[in-house]
Amino acid sequence: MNRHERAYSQLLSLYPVSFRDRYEEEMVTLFIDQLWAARASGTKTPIAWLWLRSLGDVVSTAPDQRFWKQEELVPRPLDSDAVALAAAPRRRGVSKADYAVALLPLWVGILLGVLAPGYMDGLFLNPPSVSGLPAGIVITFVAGLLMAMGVLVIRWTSSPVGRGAAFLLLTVPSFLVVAITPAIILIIVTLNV
Amino acid sequence: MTPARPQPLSQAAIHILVAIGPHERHGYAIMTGVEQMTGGAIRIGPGTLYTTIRRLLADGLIEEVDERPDPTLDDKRRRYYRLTAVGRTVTTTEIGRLEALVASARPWATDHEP
Repeated sequence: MNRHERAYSQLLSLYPVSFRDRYEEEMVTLFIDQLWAARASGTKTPIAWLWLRSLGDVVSTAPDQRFWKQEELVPRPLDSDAVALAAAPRRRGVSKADYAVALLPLWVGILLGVLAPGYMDGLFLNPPSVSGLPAGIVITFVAGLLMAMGVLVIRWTSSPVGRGAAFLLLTVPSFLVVAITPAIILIIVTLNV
Repeated sequence: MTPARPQPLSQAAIHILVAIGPHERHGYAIMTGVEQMTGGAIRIGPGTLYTTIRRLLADGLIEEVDERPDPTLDDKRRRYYRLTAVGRTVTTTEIGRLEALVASARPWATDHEP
């Protein structure tokens, strides 16, 4: 095994063990095939490109495999295209309820804005400020980014574990920031910290 | 509860299914097949290839071939894949949809060609 193969095998440790057990040998074999093709050119540039592509390829596909498991299979509804296609089990897609849950911080923000507009006024106070902008607006923007990331992960990850992780690590923190930030700002202003 | 809508096949999955076609192909043949089919515009790496193969196997669209086409000439580490009956039907249906899409775009796309 040469240094390229060793390095590529190390890179594959980003995948979960179950995936590596099944596909590592094939992937390394395929990488060696690509390496031979790149070396045939006689220069080092194609090898460098191969490594860049391989890095991007592994980094972009490994996270999903960490959350992947045999998804709940739902029967595809009858389709006039073909009976066999209709009978084919397909993966569960993203439902409207999934999106509604991922947008929880937005609903909470709207609800608070309607029911307790005075409470949300804290977001616009300046100071406290961050780079001249009201701190509440900056923090709410970050919460919005977290929420958007949660929506994207739920959109692209079909495994229940991945969606659960996105909810706990992105949606819930975003929800907490939206709900608590005005109170913290009002306390800071009141105490004149 | 209403079952969620099934996810469409990814672009990589469609290319892999078409590259396998009626044959029994190993990973490198599939990868080079996709590259040739698309004139080099699409290159799939081992990560994309095998994560997609894993899903296609789980969905029953492809299956692993037990016997090698020519064991004496081949690397033992290679595994071969072929379309299942469902995989052929799904591939044919997807191609039909793509043809319909191209046909509907053709009139104006041709008009605006540089």
